[in-house]
Amino acid sequence: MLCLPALAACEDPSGVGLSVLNPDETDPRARTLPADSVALVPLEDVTGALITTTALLDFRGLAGRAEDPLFGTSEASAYIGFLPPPSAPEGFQDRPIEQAQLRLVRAYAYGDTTASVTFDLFDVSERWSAVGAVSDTLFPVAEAPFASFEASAADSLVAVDLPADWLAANDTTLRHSGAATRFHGFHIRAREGAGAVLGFSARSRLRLISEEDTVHFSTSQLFSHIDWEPPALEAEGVRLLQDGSGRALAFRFDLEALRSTPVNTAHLRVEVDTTLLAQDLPAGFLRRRPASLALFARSEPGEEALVTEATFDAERSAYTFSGSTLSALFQRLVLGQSDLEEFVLAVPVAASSLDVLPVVLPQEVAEGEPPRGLRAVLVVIPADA
Amino acid sequence: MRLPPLSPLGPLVLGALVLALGAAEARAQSTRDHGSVYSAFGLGERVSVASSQSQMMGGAGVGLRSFTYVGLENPALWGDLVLTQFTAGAQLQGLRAEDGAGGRAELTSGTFGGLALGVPLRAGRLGLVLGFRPYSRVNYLTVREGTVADPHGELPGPDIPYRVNFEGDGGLQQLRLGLGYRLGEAVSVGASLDALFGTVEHRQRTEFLASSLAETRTTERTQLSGLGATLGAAASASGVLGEGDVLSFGAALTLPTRLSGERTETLGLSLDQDTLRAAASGSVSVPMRLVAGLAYVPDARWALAADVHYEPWGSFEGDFALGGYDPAAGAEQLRDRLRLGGGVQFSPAGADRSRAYFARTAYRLGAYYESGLAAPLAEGRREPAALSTLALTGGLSLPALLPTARFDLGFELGTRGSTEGGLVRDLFVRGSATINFGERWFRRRALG
Repeated sequence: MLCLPALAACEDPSGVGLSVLNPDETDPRARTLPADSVALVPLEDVTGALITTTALLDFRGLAGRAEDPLFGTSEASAYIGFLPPPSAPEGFQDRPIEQAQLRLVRAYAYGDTTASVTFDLFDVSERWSAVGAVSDTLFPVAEAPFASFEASAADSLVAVDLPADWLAANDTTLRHSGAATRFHGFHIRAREGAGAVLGFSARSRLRLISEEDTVHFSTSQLFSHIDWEPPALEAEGVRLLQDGSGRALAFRFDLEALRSTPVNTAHLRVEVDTTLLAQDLPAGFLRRRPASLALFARSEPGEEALVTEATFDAERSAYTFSGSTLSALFQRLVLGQSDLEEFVLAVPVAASSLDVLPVVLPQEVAEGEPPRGLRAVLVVIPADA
Repeated sequence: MRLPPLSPLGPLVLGALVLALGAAEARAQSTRDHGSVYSAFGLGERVSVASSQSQMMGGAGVGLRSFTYVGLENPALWGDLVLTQFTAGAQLQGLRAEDGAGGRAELTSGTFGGLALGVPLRAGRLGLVLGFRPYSRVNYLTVREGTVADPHGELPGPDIPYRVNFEGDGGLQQLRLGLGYRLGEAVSVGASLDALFGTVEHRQRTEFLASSLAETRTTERTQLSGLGATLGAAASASGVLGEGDVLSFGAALTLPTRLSGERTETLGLSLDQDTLRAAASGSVSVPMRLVAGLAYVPDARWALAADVHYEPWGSFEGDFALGGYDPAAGAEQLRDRLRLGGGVQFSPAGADRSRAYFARTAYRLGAYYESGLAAPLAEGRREPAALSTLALTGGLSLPALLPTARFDLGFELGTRGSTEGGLVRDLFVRGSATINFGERWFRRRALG
């Protein structure tokens, strides 16, 4: 009896007694649910960003035009703002600038990579803010361009010498201590006939050279205005998602059969038709798949909350969303405790692009065959739910 | 009559009462407190603790008169109180469960064994007792292991092992307040008001080795409470078989008690629970209980007792489906509970307090047989069969420095059920420790 306290430390439960309890077959199992009501819906695409952290250095301003036979036509123009260095060399403000060069770091391309695109350069005429700006925003710019340049997807750096008359008109502004607010940056727009869209990163700079000094204005903000026209015909069995198009993929799940069922984990699988991604590609045409996707929970139009992001899994040809937030959301949905109206799938804001994605729609398969298409995979209890 | 303030024992007793109530609730939260799978039946495994003396003598003692022990089973005996008596105990159990397939589980549990406070309102004539003891307990645990079924390889990584824990927790407690009155030398009567209350939880907890899968816990929680009553009687005669002997008979009848309550089903952990279904209200009817027994005390050294307990659980009715009771699903696996027990006590020194320590120690031995309320359905059988328990009890009652105090150490070795037809045999060993002491609380002040 005195040894009894020691027993408390050595419990060894087992399946003994299961036959007495005879519990229901309530073991966990994976359950696949095809997405329901899949549709492309408008979604404001934030294509502007204030460059304040290093994480945003890869943000791009897009300019050009690309006609994709599968995904439609995209036309973009970029706005780029600059910031003087925190400490300019002594005397810089006293000496006239002799040369100004716009150094654009090309970081993205979509469309005909063999094409040389001619861009016009405009002054932005007023103060503007890229923070939260969505893709259909327009900021006021000068009526006429003050310069033009050519660039192609092969260029990693495009150096544009700004004309002397532009320099003369802006010299005092650029040297002024309040240059950050007085100088509003540039607007880059492609001329007609462009075959590609190029993206210029936040690593782009404005180089100013005076008699004794060279000063670099760094990119302070970037914005891309994007117009998009759908293709004449959309492929069957897929929904075509394109970043910058102002459209996202919305869908729901019929969870009625799982009411009050415990959810151990949830995955959401976005299957991609990688064959279609490479299909109908004109020679030299570059079409990119997004590096990551974002999943939002929409309670009502305009009210989207980011759930999680996913990267591409080449083995499964799919993006798979998972994590505790998603699992908890599905649990609340199953319990009828969520006001979620639908899930929304979009390309993350992080780096502004025109990436494309053919999302495979849920397909009926024969019994025993693996499921296909946009779907949720839940581990639920009980198994017979 | 002006009563002096309580002695220092008073606050101690009250504190112990509060602690015991808290311990009973805390036990429900314990993660390592598991016992028989048969505790899943009905409102749980019935617990019968009348006194530590009775426990060591096969659960008998409904007719055994004592100046040291407060027998909670029979209010009629409370009229014998001479000193204010306090009793508190605890119990540990080790259980080995085996099935016919060679499966084995080893489980342990600790429980509060009950406490009682008896106050002689008129010494040897009228006594008041407040008792608190477990009435039933649910503490089973059995597990099912496997890997998550994923026929199409939809889940990332290798097979995911899981373990489903089927757990029971809780039970009913009984708070009893009553009076015992001695009508004369031979006959006593008593009555008590009994509050039964508690919570019974049946839980399914599924855990995974993979951290990406969250443990889920579905709990069916039934809270019940109600009031009942017990009537008791005792009669004794001396010089029956020899000079100075006493033969006693005692009986107690606890009336059927209607417990009302609420059942909730939740999903999640304790601080983050979602209600799965609207709470359901209802009631259950705990059957009556009849206890009768004989005790024979030939002299101060020997005492013998034998009891029979009967509870007609076979006619149990309730609004809630319980383990083994679900009329809608055709489950009727509760049977009348019958318990026969008896034991003997030997005190070598008798009433002589001058003898050596171990001569003043009381040695007790007993046994009981119980046909329990749980009637599991064995494979190959058409009808469920009542579950039998056979146990040997015993222990020591050690004298303390105070002549009115005893420290009791008891044991119980038993077996319950069989391994036939997919059922389970429990082999259990229990140890109990109980402190009993008495003190005179109310004294007349000497005038002058």
